Amino acid sequence: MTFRWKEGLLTLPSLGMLVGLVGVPTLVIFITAFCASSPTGGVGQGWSFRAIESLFQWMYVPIIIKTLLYSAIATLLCILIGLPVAYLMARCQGRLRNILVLAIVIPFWTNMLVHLSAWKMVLHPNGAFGKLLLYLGVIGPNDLLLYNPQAVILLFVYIFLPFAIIPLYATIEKFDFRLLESARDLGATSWQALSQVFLPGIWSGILSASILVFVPVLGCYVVPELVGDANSVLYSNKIAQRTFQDRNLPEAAALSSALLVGMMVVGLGYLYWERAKRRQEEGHE
Amino acid sequence: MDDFLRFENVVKSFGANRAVDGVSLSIKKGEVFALLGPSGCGKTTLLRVCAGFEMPDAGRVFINGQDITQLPPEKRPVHTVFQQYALFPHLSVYENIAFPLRLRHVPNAEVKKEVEKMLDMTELTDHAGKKTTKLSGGQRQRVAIARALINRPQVLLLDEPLAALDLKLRQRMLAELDWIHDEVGITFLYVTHDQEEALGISDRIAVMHNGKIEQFGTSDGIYENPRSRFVASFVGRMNFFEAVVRQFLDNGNILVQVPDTGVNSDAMFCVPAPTNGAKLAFGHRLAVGEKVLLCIRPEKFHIGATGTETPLSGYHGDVFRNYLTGRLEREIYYGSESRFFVEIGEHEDYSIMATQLIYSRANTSPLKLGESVQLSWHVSDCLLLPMDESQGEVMGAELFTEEGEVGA
Repeated sequence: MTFRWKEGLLTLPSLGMLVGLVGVPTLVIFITAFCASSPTGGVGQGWSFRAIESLFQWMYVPIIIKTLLYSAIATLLCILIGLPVAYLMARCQGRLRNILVLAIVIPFWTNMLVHLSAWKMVLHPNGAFGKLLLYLGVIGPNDLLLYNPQAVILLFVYIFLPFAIIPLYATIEKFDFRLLESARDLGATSWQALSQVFLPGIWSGILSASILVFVPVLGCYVVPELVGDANSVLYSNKIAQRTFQDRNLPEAAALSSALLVGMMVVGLGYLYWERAKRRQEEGHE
Repeated sequence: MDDFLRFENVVKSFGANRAVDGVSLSIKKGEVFALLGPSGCGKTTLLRVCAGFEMPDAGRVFINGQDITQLPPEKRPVHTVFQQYALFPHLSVYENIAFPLRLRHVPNAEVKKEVEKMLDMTELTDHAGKKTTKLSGGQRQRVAIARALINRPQVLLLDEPLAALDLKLRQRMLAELDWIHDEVGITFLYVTHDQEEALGISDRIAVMHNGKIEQFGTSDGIYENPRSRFVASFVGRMNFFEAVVRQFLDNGNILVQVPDTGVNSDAMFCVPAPTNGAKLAFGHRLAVGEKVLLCIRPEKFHIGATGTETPLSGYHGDVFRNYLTGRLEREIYYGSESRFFVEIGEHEDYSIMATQLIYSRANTSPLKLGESVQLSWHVSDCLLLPMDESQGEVMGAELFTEEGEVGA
């Protein structure tokens, strides 16, 4: 099996990157969570469960709930906005389709901080948008468009929308649209065809789009920090606070590890459930 | 119920292309009606107009006297079996068949009863729980048929339903479709480019060409009495000769002469009278000297080795017998039949085809390649068609390939 071994060599660069840039840092964070903290910041001498114990505080409960809620709302909005856009892209032909894909991908490549500063200008009380809304009477002179939970959700949706559109587009493009005709032919209204044939048909795309939005939103602390208020402090902001202000690295590491473990449990649970379902279906035959 | 499903002057264009160009058709209740034609002739568009996927530019569609032209697909008492089946991949075989019932919120017990009946009829009971992606082509086809029939539509549309299957399976499914039709008695509108399928399954056929109905009638009527060169060559195989009308006989038959046939160029051939029935689709009376197409199907020839004397066309006793002599150029053996290509006259491309069923290998007198052979046929086995100048002057055997193009 020497040729197999040689084939394996080809994966070395990517394997090296995965281990060196993802595996090792993750492991370091895990280990740090079990270190003692040092009053000067950084990591102190010896091992300690203090950081882990610090996770079990009531103050984290509302933050976790709020974080999940924000992520869920942002994900839902991304899917709801992304679906028609992806559908339109998949149904377009040639040039128009390329232009649309480019229009989605270019903002995707632009740095998040650039987007954030741009939005801060747009939403600023002296910005054009704010002035327009004031002029139209939609907002009062003392209403702020920035520094509130709505602004945080808006920016989450804006920044992570391409993460939803691209997997949705990839799935919808492969969807056999003759199935919709077939459904209509068999007596389905257009709404029934959409909900009973189209959505189940692109379910995998909706799922991956959801994961691709939900997970990064969980960890995106910059947005609440720049456009949020005291009420929109999320789990990721707590990690940032422990790291940069409290300078308690083990506690920050414990928070990060807990997030990671939590997501892994959900992910593995889902995989297990999928497999059980498939087994059951095959058992039917 | 002579016009259960009726198309009235239906027109449908895509850009500058008139896919369906003024089609009127009446289909009887309970019959199997085939729309036959080469790809791009508009037959599928007509079917989609009937299903409600295309809105006709002009004209109307009626089912049972009701105008359905403006109805959306889901409101029409019509279901379709698609060429690629269009089964729902996220549903099991059972749920695919149950789909139309689920849409109407039929109670579970009744769904079970109906689906099991369909599974039984299509012999899919053992596969009920499977995903449709795990089925073979023929099984998928049966799921598609069961799904389309479970709502008891008034008309079942079949869009090239067997095109994706291999030959053996196609023949079996054709027999099965025939059986299912007998079982359910629903009107079938069957779209195909395969003339054997059309002849085999349908009571009546409409041959379409360039968006128009070229001819329509019973299967044998279409085969025996094609009314245009297109129908004659698309349905079955046909030999064409450019002929000139020479003489009208007292019994109504016509003598024609085929120039350019070398040794036979003086020979006269006798053709049945244009007046008897639909044999000829001439709008006017023929005149002596007029150019016409003489058409003979390959299987109508009797082929034999030339004896010591070569009989000429003419009366042999009381019977007129048509004779033609040529050189055997090629024989293609198909097991149950042989196809002979016989060269007439000087031109290489003036080759005609004769076929002969092989009853018993022992009884067939061997014909030698390159030697002179004799073709003969009965007067009633040939027909005249109007000369269509636009079709050029290609003589001899004409065959349609799958794509609908002419090949010799």
